[in-house]
Amino acid sequence: MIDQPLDSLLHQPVRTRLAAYIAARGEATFSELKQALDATDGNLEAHVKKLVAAAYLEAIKSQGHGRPQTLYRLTPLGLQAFHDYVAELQRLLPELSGDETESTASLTRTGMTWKAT
Amino acid sequence: MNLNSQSSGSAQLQAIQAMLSSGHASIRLERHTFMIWGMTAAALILVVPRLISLESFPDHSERLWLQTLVISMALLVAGVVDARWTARARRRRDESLSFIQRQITKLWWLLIALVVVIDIGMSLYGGGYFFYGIALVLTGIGIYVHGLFSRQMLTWGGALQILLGLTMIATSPDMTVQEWVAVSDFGIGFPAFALMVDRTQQRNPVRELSLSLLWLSLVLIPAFVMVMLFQTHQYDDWPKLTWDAYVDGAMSTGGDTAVVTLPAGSLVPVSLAITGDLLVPVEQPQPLMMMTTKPVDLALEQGELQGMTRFGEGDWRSGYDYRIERWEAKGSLSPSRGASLDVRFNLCFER
Repeated sequence: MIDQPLDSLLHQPVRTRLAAYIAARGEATFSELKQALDATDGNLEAHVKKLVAAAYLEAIKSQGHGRPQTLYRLTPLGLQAFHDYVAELQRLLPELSGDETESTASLTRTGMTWKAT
Repeated sequence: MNLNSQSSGSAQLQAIQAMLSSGHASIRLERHTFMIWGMTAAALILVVPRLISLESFPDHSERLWLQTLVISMALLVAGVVDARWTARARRRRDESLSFIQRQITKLWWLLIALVVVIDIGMSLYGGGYFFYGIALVLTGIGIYVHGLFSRQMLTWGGALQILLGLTMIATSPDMTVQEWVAVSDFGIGFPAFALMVDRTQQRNPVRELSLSLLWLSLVLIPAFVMVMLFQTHQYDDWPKLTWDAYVDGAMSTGGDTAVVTLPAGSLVPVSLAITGDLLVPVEQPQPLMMMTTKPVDLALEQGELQGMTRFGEGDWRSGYDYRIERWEAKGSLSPSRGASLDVRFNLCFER
């Protein structure tokens, strides 16, 4: 079995969690990300910028009544990269994927199916 | 890049799983949502039957469509106001409406539309006795489904609402009781949900049971107080007239109000006007003579029936609170009698 490198952008705790949260929620504002990840403004901003620069994340400016909002959403490239990352993670943990442990079972329950590469 | 250890990989997967769960549980119902929908529903239950009543609009179709129009418009306004206020509140907090919440909101609208359609159907084809119970169950399902994707205690609230609705359907109390329970449920219970659903995010059976009892008390006590007030109205203090005195014209010489007692065994002509598409009457139907099984007190105001009645020693209740049960229509054919149709039903004023 050939080891494929894990995506260095996503293989970072904050960015992994950020991608997972948006993948499940669809889109989120900066405030919601901050609250969900329990991160500081500066820290979160740095990670968001990296994901936006890699075109994993897109920022959508929303105009309407009240103040303008910026919503962050995973791009198709970002979503695919996230799927590939989780699949690779599961492949690297054979006993986890084989035994359907709590983690992987829970991942399956959330409705996200991972394509093994 | 390889994992340093299986434990770190497992931790990473668990972190992903936690964030996926967190992202999926993204529905949050605003307090004003409960207030707007609850108050609107309570006001509609209280106002519409009194505003667009049998007396004001004797034609059934006209009354039905007018009621439907008012109800639909009020619910539409409630929905638009709720959507705008929610969007404004979210923007103020720099929050968004998640994808799943937008989809479940559509389901909520479908359930509300279903309640309106059922109301129309029951007005046309009967079964209105179950309307409030069904309305409670359907709104409860709406709240419960929201709760499946939320960290608020919405599944608890929805389950309580469904339970109350099912109890109403199963026990089928007087319409007056059903009406006030529904008014109290929407007018008090919904705002109470608004205050309670954020109280705890951890499952705690004792706390949930306590909140359930508190919520049921908040809904049922005011409802039964209103029913008691309604039933022990001023009619007991009104002058009482025997049937003979009423027939002798005592009402015209007396005051504006009176309670006339129709004794048990009184003959009451019942006019049945049956129309249809296949069968139409060929002559003026004769009234069917029926007999009262117990004394009936009738409240009169200005010589007219006021709408409130009392059977025997029971409580005062609306004279419109009746039900037609066990409809049966059976056709038969014989050379001697020809074709005939036997229609039966049970007309109940008491439960």
